[in-house]
Amino acid sequence: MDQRELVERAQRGDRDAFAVLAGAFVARLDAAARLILRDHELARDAVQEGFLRAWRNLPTLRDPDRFEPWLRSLVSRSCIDVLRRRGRRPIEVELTPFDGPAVSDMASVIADRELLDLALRRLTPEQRAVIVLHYYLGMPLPDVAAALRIPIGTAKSRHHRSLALMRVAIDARPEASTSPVVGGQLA
Amino acid sequence: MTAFDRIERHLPELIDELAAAAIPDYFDTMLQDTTKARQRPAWSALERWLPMGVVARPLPILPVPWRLLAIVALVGLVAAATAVYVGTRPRIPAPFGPARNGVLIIGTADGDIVSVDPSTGTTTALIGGPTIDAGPYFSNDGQRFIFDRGASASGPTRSYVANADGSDVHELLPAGRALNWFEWSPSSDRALIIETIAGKKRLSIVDVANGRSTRLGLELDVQAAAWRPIHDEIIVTAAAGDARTFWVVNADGSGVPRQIPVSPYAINEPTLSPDGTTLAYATWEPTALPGRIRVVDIDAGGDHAITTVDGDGAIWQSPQFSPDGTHLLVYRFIATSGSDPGGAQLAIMDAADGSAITMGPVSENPQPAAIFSPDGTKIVADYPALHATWRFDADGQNGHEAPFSAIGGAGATWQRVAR
Repeated sequence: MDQRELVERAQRGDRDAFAVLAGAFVARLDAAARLILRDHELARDAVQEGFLRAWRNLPTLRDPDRFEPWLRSLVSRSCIDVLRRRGRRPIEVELTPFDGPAVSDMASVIADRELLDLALRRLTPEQRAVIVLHYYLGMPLPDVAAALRIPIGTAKSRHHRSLALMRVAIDARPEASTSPVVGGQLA
Repeated sequence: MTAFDRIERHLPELIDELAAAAIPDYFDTMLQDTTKARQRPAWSALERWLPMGVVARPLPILPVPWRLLAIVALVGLVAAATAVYVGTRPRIPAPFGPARNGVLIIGTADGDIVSVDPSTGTTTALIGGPTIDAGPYFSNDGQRFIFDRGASASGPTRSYVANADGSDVHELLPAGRALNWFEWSPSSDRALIIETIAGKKRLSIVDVANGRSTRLGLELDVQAAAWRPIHDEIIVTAAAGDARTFWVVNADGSGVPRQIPVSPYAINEPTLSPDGTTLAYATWEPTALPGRIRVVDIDAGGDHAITTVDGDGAIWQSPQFSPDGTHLLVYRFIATSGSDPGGAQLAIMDAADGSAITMGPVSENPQPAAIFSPDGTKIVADYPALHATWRFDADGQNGHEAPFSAIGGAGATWQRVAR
């Protein structure tokens, strides 16, 4: 049974079909929520809210082939909604320990992953949402803008700004061995 | 290549590893809870009836920026409220320098104070009644004036303050206190006053609203005082025998007064340039030419005479700076016998080189009283001995008798208005 047929069945109230669809996407969306919110509990709230919206509104989706981007949008918006309800206080927790595939230079990969983690912490949740949706969920920036309900120009500038901040966070470390960040890089 | 360059090249893969996606432990519970909810009927969604692109693609219309709109609306409201508030408040002129001409008010022979149109002589009563009210003197902000009130023309007077339109008349000081001198502060909410207490003249600062005064503890025989423009200082005139000395005093009276180095033959009170840098004054020297006008830089010194010696033995006195500080309005006395001054004529004098042009009629004592208009283009002069008031252009030209007459030689004051 292909995804389109599963979606159509779920639109007619088939819970099993929806369970299959949800199982296919929940791991990645939960990870995305954790990356954005950096809090397991908040991430769970956001994913639950996103999936509940998906289930309730699924009959209104006209194109079953758009189910995946539609679901991503719902969970992304839930992340932002959870943040707004939560307020602006900083949230920081450790992510799930790395359990990835073996690589030839594992030490280097782990170091880069830790640097990336460090850099992501320097971003606001809204900035992290742009980075995560774009690089992790593979959404084009126009889709990111629509999912986050922000103008495309804001999404582009937020994306640019986020990368600049990450660059500063990584390259401006005292122990960074490469050339320092030059003035004006954030402009 | 920097560390970030290396990371950026593999950003999707690295984020993927960092995310460590896995089926969350709450999945089953979430699924059970979620699917208990009722689904919306398909027909209930407006999107269902719209073209596919509206649903499947990002909205072509930007979301309404409610927060921005709220901020813009709020800023607009604040701006409008500010504009209304500012618009309803009187515009206040700078305390010194040129200003726009407001109303000219005078004391009349009937003992009233009226505003007068300088061109037509049309008057409007401001302060009336059976009392003798005279000597109005506008504050620097043009919002109120002080005047003297007495029961009769020759009896003692007391000082009163009124709004520019003649309203809110109240006595300046508590009963029993009489003034020798009064000068408005730059902000016009206070004034310098000199009272005679136990036979000595004392300088105080008085709050015009409530009459509370603070005496400045100066060991000087104070004769006059004025706020130094653009400086937080007071220029005090003190008696030194028949002559006068000039002192710079902190506005609150603190510190040690600094004497301004001037001629030992200085007389009367000086005049201050609108920028507060220069003091001009008259001398009475025991020579064949007793009366001269001298100027001095208040901070740098350099006291020197600017009047030139002419052939008729003229005596220059009572300088008064123009609003722009370029000229002095002076009296030119003409000695009739020896050093005894006789008739006087007004003159407009260049404050830099002392060159002067006389204007108007020659008058015997009492000497004429004259003022500049706030914009510096006109001069109004009252000649008590002639029972006439004259108007001139500020260059001394186009003089003619005005269609009104002030009284007492100190009867006219011109309101300063914001430009």
